[in-house]
Amino acid sequence: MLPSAMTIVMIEDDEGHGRLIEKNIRRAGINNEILSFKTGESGMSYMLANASRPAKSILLLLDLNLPDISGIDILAELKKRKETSRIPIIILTTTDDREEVSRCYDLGCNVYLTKPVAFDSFAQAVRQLGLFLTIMQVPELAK
Amino acid sequence: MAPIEHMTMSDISTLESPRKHGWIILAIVLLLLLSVAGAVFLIIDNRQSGSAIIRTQNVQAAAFRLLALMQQAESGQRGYLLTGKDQYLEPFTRSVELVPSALSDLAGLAEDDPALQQDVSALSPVTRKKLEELRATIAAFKRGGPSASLPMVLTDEGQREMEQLRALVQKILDDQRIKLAQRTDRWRINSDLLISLGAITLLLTMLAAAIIIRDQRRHAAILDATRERLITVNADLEKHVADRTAALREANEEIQRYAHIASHDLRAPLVNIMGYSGEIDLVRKEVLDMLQNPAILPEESREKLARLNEDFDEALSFIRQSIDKMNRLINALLTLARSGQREFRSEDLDMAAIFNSIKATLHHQISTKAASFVVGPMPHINADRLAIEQIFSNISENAIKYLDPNRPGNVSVSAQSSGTETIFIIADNGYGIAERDLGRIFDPFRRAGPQTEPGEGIGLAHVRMLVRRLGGKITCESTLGAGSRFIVTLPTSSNK
Repeated sequence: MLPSAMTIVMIEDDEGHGRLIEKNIRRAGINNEILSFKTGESGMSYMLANASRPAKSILLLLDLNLPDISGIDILAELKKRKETSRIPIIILTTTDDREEVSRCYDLGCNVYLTKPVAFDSFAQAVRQLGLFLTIMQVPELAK
Repeated sequence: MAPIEHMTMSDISTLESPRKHGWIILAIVLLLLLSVAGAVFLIIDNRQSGSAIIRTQNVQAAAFRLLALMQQAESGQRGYLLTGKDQYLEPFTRSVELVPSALSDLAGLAEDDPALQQDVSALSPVTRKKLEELRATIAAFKRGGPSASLPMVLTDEGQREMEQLRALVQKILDDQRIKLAQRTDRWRINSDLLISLGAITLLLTMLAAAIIIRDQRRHAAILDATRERLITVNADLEKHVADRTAALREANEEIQRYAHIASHDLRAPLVNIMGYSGEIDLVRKEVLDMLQNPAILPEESREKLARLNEDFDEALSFIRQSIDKMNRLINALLTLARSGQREFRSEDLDMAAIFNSIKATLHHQISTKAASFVVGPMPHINADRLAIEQIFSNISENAIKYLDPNRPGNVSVSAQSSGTETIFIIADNGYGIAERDLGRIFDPFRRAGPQTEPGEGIGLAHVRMLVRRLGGKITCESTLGAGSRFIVTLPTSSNK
């Protein structure tokens, strides 16, 4: 169960995708705060400023195709720093390049999901992600 | 890019050895030959002159000797006549003995000389007479002493004969002296000429040598310069080729990167279209639910609502199908782009094994269509495994896919090896391809014939790209209604 104090941070530059993700997470019954950032820079600043706040836990949904910084760099940076390395990061992006996937897992992402275009609809997939989120355990961040 | 430096035909033609000096050399050689001929002539002439000079000197010596002998004889006689002592007669006796041989010597030397012969033949009797006179006077003295010999002497006959003798000898000597002078002059002139010729020959030889050496040097310099230029031009060309190859490779990689990026940028809006078509669907459902309330919608409008709902369904369905199709196309483009980027590695491939495993993969389709798939004897080739598998899977699958259900399907695979190249032929008796379509089938997204089977039409474009990367080529022969043959020519050993 997602702790109610958990904030879902979404770094996604496409507004359409962002809204779809948000809607469907809500449809899955998740009522946690969702903060979305359209640029890597703004998302990163928030992460770095707030991660070390006590009793604060963050779940990050990260798109790789950002306008300013590469999502990969954000992933690497967050996993490198002690105060943010435990934050669960779910990569949610259009790329399904095998090397990209391997690289993300090498850098420490927790899950890599490709945004589907298939008939089954994006919404369904995100709803399932939402359901997944309801059953997953999140770690305590380093104090 | 800068123009490539190269050698023109006029550059190359100056490499020929310079001919213009050939004439000069020839002239010099002729002159040399003349000099040598002249020298030989002079030497021979001098040899003859030399012998003639010696002969002249011999004649002079012989004439002198004869005169000396006769004078000795005379002085012997005089001594004897004066003293009456026998010892004074010795010179006479000795000389007289030698006179005949001296005379014959002289005569012998005169063989070639008619003038001398004349003189000698005049000399002979005079000599004899004088000798007789000497003997007579001596004999007279021996008989009667000085009173017997003196009157003979006083006749002056002896004196006159000696004078004659002396004059004759002098004549001979003078003649010979003149001849000697002439011959010596000639000899000297010849020698001088010879020296001059020698000097001329030396000069001519040096001149010829100088010309030849200079020509050779110039020729060698031209060759060296040309060789240097060739090396530079070669290096230049190689650099140009390397540069252009690198540029081409970069351009190719760029194109592939664009294809890669484009497909991703195309996917993002598709996600939105698909997602929001889903949202619209949800909204429609909620509105529909709301309108189920009879309080809101009168009974008579329900039919219209139902039809509107159907219209909505139809519209949404077309939207979703199009999105699906576009998604598949983008995936296919991505596959093409990705294959172009992958590094190829060559390995030894048993083509029989590869075709048999393709056959096994297609087993289901083959048996569904009750067709036959025959793999003939196959060679080994050296190439990238994945590319080869993709190429022949694709072609084989097409062959099975497009079999005509109205007749038993046969697909046969055969190969011919010719050293550097191996040709694979996959023949089927399916629908065949119309002639006007034969070019199109290799274009991406183009298909030909009845579209009875699902597919994007990406396969053969991908196949052709792979075949090209392997350094081979692919062609298709077909008869509409009878079947097709796909002919893939590949290098037997790929260096990629």
